[in-house]
Amino acid sequence: MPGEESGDNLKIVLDTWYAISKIIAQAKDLPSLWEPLFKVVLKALNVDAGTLMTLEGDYLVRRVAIGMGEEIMKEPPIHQSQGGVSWSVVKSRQPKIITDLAKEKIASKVLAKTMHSLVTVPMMVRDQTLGVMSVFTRKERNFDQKDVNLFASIANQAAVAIASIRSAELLEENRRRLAELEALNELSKSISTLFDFEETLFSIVGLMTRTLRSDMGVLVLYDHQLKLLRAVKPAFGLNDAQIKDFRTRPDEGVTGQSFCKGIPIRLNRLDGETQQVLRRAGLSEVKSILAAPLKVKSQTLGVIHVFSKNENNFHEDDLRLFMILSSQAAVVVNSSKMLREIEEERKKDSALLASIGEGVLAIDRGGKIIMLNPAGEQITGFLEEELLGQTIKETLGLWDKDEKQIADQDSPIAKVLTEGKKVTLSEIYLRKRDGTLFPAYISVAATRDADDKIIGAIVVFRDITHELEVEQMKQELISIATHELRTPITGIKGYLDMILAGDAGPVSGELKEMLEEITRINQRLADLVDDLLNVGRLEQGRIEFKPVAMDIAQLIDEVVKELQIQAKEKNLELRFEKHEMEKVKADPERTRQILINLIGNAIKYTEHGSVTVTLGKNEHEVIVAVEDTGIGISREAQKNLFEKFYRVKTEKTRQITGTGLGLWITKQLVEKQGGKIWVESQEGKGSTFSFSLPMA
Amino acid sequence: MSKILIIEDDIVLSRMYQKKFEQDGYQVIAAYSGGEGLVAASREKPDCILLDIMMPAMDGFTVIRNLKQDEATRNIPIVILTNLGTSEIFIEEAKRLGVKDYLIKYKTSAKDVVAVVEKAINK
Repeated sequence: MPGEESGDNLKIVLDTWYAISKIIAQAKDLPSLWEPLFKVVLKALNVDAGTLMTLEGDYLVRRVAIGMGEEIMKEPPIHQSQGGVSWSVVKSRQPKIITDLAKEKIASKVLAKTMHSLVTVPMMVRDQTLGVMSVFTRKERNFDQKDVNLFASIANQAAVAIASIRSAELLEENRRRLAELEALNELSKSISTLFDFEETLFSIVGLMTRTLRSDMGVLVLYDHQLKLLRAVKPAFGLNDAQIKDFRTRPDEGVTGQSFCKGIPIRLNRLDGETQQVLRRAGLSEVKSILAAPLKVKSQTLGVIHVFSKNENNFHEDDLRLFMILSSQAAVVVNSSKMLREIEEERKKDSALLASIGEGVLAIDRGGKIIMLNPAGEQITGFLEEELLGQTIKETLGLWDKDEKQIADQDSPIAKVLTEGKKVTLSEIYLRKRDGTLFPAYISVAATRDADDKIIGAIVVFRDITHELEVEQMKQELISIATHELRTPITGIKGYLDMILAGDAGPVSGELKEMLEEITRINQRLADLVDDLLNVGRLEQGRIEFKPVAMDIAQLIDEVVKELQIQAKEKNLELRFEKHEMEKVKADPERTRQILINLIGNAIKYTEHGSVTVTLGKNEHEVIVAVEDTGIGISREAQKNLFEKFYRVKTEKTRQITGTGLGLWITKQLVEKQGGKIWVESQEGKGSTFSFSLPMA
Repeated sequence: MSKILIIEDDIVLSRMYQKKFEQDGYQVIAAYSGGEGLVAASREKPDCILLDIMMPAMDGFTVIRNLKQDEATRNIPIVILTNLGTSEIFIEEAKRLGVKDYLIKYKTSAKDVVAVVEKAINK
């Protein structure tokens, strides 16, 4: 140590220290440190040459060499496995003196030829070895302990300098990264870029790859059908074939581990399994990897990676930065997934959508428009730039089906922004740039960040003017068709009635039977037209229900009396024991239709025995049951019984005519009045159809 | 012999009703449009008018309003015979205009139509 040295030596030491501290104080970065530092060292130790190598993972990298020619800087870094003097010093942490280099195994060929003696010392700071410094003489020299001590102290001083500059650089680097992060954050905040998912993802992956000194970046998503993690576009530095082939099982390699465990992983040397996965994708040159799960809420969507062709490319700090960046990527991936889901849902609604461009508009948390897609521009006549920063209310507006403007508090968009639930509306009007209103179908969904916080909303809309026109034409057509059908049916019925009444002369025998058969066929046609008309009305909600407090027992009694004729024709007993019952809240005309359908069906499908109507109740409902001793319904058929156009097909039902619409209509009539309908039946023994109606 | 005017644009149906009423002993006059019907009504002074609603050019409701404005035809009983359906709006409008009965063609047999007309005349 300096204090133990003689006066001369002490002066040299102090001068040297001073010089070094000045150099360190003035150094802006590491490269500018080496040369001045070494000039001091060479002078202090009176040697011909010197070199400094820093430890970078498993390599010693030469940073500076003075007095030994240019060639030496071209030599590759020395790997741990190559050994040599420098590595032995790193490992032993002790200085090493070699008087005759020719007799030693040293790593550098250039040095072995030109130098004779050397001293190598470790650069230590806080018990950590940062590298080694060596000095050389061309002629043989026996370095003594004093030289070594001085050199070692200089080396440690240099180590402190290196550490401090490095941490400053690291800080600077982090600051730069932070700035990039902020930029990225801005990027993801402006949802407009969320729609260029590919572009945004590409910029994130690219940023990751660059920032983390890597060669490639790629993300894999979990495919639920194939149960595989598959690479998706965009990837950075991979070709299409590599993207296609980079896929792994979720229990395989570093990708699988990161996915299953949901943790980020730094892999500076690859395991066999990971190597295999990479080899399959033609990525054998990858030597180190950072992998992090793409997590949104508690769900892991996939894994994002950066690859380096160098071993030991990644520091502990890199992993932390990587995690932050990957959470950004997760948000983008999730948003893209969400938009896809919305789109798919809408596709279900209409096949037309494929050919019609949908308007997509995005708003931020404050309701300000931040994006309008080209289809949206075409639909509304607005340019995106005209809408940016404004609210929907100020621009497109939002009108209900009566073309009344919807108040802020009732706006579905406001609701989505506060409650986050998806809203779909089909009867709404929006305003075009020219001021005209157009009917629109809109679907609003919240956009969220990785913490599930609502950061805005996406409004998808389309102009349904044409669809409404088509729908109206369809309704008119049905109405006209049924009206037109009814006229000839009425005419046939009128003539048949007259003929059968004998108006055209006496009718008897086979002729009479045939005419009666035609009458029944004509009635079937009339029923079918009637049913079709009712189906259309029910589907379009055009049947009015006017619920009143009514006496259901009285109504059943009337209907049963009406249908007694039909029952008698088949020799069936139709029974109803009228008794006091709470009033129900229902439309009398529709309820009559329900009763006629159910009791009529019971008579139709019963050959022998009886049809019994009973009246019961539970806490809030009155229950009507129609029990028959008819052919019954199989368990299988019961499942589909209330479906449109469903008819039970058995030997026995073949001769009974019907449209397959009656029970569907009945079910609608019951349900639209707040009731339920159900059936219990045993084949061959009979059926009981029951329905409930709410008490008044 | 009672005289009846049938205003109905569908020739097939009109002929069917004409036949029925003739069979049952009525004197039948047929008009195939609303305008034609108004002329026939004031000229023939029928005992009852059987009127369709959905007709081109002039619909049944307009025919009724015109009949009610004319002193000569104001008191002729009218029976509506239509396939328009049982929507209350139509029935209420018909009642408001003083129509005796509102029949749905395809639900009413020709025999019943005659019975209703008979009743309307005798009131």
